[in-house]
Amino acid sequence: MALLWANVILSGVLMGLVYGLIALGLTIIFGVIRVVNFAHGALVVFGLYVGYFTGLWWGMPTIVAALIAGALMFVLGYCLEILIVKRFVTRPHHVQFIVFIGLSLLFTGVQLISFGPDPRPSVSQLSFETITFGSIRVDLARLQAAGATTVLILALAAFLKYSSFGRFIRAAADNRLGGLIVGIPIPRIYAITFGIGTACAGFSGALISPLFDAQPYLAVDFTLLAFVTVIVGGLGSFVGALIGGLTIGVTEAVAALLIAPSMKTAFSYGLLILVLILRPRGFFGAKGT
Amino acid sequence: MRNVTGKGLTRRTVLGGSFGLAAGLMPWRADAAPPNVKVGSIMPSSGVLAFPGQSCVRGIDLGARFAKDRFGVEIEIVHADTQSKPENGRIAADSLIRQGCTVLIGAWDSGATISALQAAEAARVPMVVHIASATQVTSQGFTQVFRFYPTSLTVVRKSLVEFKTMLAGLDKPPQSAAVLHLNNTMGQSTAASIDQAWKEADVPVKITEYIPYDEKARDLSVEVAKAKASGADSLISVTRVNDAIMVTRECVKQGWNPRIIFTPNGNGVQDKAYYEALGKYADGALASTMYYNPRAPDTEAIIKKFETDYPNQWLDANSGCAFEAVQIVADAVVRANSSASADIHAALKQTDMTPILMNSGRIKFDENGQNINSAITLLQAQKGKPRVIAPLDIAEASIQYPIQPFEAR
Repeated sequence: MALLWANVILSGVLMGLVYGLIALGLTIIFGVIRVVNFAHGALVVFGLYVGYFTGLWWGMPTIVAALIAGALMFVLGYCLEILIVKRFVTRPHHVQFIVFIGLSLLFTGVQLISFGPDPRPSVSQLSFETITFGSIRVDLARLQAAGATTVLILALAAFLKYSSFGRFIRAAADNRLGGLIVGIPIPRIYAITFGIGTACAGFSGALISPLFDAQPYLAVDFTLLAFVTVIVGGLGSFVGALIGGLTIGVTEAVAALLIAPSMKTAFSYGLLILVLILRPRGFFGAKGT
Repeated sequence: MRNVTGKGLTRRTVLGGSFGLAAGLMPWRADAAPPNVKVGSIMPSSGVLAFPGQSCVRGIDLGARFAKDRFGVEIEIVHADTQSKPENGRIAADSLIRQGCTVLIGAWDSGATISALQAAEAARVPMVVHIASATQVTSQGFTQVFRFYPTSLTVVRKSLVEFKTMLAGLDKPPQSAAVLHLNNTMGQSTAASIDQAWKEADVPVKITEYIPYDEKARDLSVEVAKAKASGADSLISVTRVNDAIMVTRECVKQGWNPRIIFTPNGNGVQDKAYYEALGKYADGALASTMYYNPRAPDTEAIIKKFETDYPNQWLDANSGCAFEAVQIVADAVVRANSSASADIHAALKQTDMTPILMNSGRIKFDENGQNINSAITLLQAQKGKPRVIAPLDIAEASIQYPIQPFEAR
């Protein structure tokens, strides 16, 4: 029984870190630009397809596919910000919501036309591999995603703290008008930040391709999952995304083991409601988020 | 001129008689030509059930082409997609009926089927259910339903009888089993049927635990860990194809090698996607389902036609049942000699036909609209394909037991 618990908790932790990875792009974009990206899930799905096809056609390792997906999606995100998002940054939230929901539907439509509606399960050998520590078996695909989440968060935190561009981004996040007054190139900062957030979505999508079937309809699931994660952890916080993901992953795993597996999603939403009642800004969210 | 051909028999008489005969025959031949019929097909062509849904669409289209040659019926198929959402069944059925469809076929998923039947019932349009196993489809008093597929209880009962017979011939048969099942209409219905039929059939394997899981589950690691921890040496699963892939993947990852993986009602083993995703790990799993009869007279030609029309696809249980449903409709339209819903409905009630493709007894519907002579085929994944292993009179291969451990492949 102890072994079962250990395996389940570990599985929950790894899955939680995967959730954190999926939510990371959403929280970066909100933290700096203050727009709520409802198209986030569809962007993750683009990454999933990159992971699927690079594995299918060239047998490319998932981590390399994730880097490629990240680079491609950065370009997409940058262009998207310049062409569409920047026109709505200062508009009311409800207008932004509609724009991003529209973008999400557009992306899902593009994916449907391009790849069809069939779920495409990964053909990567990684989706079957584990490593063993004593009696505990660890899923290699999840371990890789969890490790990448941790590295990515540390790298982003270091970038924001120590680079001059990172300081610009933080300044833009703290006070847009002040930043503009002192000559910080806010439009460029926003475009790059949106690119980084979108790159994170693509990177995470490709990295989780051995775990999830690629299909357009996952966009809604991923968007909801990312929202639950960042609301629990705190909108705009990297650590919040990580802790939010971990909390949900472990809650789902424990609920599945203790109560019923079919109830685990209900428990993650139950947790969300509880957090919204007791701590509306989430574990690590700034006041007013 | 004198009449030389005999009294009263002139060239005019012969000519007139010929015209009369031709005129008399013409209307009779026109009446005998079966009418054109517009058939609505409701399938989950997109979403999580897109694999089987699209397979059904292929079966429907091929079935319509086949029926034209076999029955002389021109069938116009109008497709509607439920997007794998049960509640969309009714919307799809309403739309098809508005477009002039006088008979419906569908809807693969039990929830969507029941939803579609509500619209069919209101409009008095008959619906042939090619696949959907929940008992409720034919137990809720619908008058327009004609279900070719057996109920989950019938499927499970027949499956367990075959399973028990098979166990008797095995060296060191399994002792216990965990049941991992979908928590939706079909999954709950099948789990209840397993519980009932297991006792009825007195299967000599102890069920250790029932583990339901959400149909949108993204991860089944905890579910499989629970099944493994229950101490069971075999796994009974009630899955859709995507879940079946996830379950097998988790078994591989968690180092669990059940002696048998058996799906008494569900998808996986019969689907091409299962083999593409799992490769060498697919082999060994068992499933009972309605399947095509490899020895039926038309099967080879139908498979050849299917492979020509749909390269890189398989004729599977989904496309097979959809194909057969179109033949049931065509047979009814020919007998009704009408494309009106009421006439087709009356003809469907009188259906008594030998299936063209599927392994089944003669197709006849009882007063609830349930096909009473359905049969079950036991399949095992062997060398990357589903092979019929029972009933023995149509078997293509014999059972491989126990399943080869995953790490040894």
